[in-house]
Amino acid sequence: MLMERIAGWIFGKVQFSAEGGAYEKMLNHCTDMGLTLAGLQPTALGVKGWMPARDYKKIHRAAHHCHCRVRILRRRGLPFLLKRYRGRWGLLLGPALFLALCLYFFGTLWCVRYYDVPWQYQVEIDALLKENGILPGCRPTEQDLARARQTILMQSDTLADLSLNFIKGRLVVEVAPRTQKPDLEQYAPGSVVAAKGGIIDHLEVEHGFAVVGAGQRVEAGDLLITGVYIDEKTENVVITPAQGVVVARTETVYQSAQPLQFTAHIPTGEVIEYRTLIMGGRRIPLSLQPEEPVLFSQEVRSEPVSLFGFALPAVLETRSLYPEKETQIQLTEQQAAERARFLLDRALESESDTEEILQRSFDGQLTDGVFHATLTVERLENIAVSAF
Amino acid sequence: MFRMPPPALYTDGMIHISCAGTVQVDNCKGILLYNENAVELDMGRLRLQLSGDDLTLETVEKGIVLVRGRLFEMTFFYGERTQNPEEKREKSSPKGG
Repeated sequence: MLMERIAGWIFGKVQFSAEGGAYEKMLNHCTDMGLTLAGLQPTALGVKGWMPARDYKKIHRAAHHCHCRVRILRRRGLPFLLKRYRGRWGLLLGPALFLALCLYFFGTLWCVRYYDVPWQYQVEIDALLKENGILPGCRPTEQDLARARQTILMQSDTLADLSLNFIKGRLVVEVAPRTQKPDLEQYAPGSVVAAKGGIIDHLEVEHGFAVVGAGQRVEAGDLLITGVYIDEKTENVVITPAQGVVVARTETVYQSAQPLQFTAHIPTGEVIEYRTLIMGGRRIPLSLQPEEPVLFSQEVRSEPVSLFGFALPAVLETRSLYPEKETQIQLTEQQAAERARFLLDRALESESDTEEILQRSFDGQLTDGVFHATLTVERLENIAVSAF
Repeated sequence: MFRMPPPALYTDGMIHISCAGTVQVDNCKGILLYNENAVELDMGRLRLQLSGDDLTLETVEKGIVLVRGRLFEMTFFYGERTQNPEEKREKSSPKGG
């Protein structure tokens, strides 16, 4: 019965009325022609009923013989619905396309939503999710999400727990930040020793007892502040935490060797870009893939795809290749010295704050085609480190 | 050994009656009269008249008529039909009386 109704709706059906004449004869003629009539009800002047739309023309022949007047009362079904849109197929194409996209994107990740997650965690988790291949347009499975969760928790120092819930196309991320160590633990009994050698400038002891004074020279590992002492009155051993700042004048030597002739990879200035659309768990290359150069550096960028401001579950990945070539570079002694100085300054800047530098001296000499440079830096810095 | 049913059993007119108010007539030759109170069917050697209220023909196909409604009476007529259908319709219709 249900199948008949579905078939009737797909192929279309009409409600007709036959009035006047011998309509019973007309019904017999119809059945003789093999037509199927349904839902026949008597009316004041005849009968009305339903029949397949494709057979309606045949009923006229039978009605003519029986002097009946036949007309259509109602039309039902897909053909009549589509007839309304004849010549305006674009109106139907939109919903059909939307339906097809919904079916195609079923199970696809549309967006990532963070629930009550601080901004710094969002940036960190976003980058880690991309590294693990969880980005809009993919079809994440339970195993993928579990693997990504494990990887993120292992790589992150600040997260205690993380939940990734994939619900109706959305990946909802919730985190539990790692609880800081209690303050009491920082003041555990112990000592403060020197991290490196130097001449002490001044001390600021917060806990414990200083065993060195200003102007005294210490070496790396020497005891600076102790947390263990003997009470003179009771002669008992007292153990307290040791903490403080010990600022000393230190000297650090940086060395660099710069050959006068070396090989460098120089960018040619050319940029090759590959664009790939990641959608529905597939990678669709948008440009032809020429041969990769032998030497190159690359940069990969991912950006979400949107249509008229409506975000689609897809990501456009752009991979930029910067071809390089090997070049032999010959430097003069002065150029080698400048390059060595530049490298040493960069190393110094990356290692510590340059504002506390009291004095710096650069020295170098050329030996067997290699310029050996030395940078000696004298500065004030905290050398206190805890030793338990 | 077993007595088979007569060959004409499945080719002659057959009537299936449901107490839910449905009557299916198979191997019917045609409809002679139809209004909301009466359906008269040609069964070949005899005529079958179903009387009741709100009678509808659920399905009409070649040889099959499915009648639904509040049935009161089934009458079998033997012999040729002499009455004009339109006259009989007027006679069986309450408006006609």
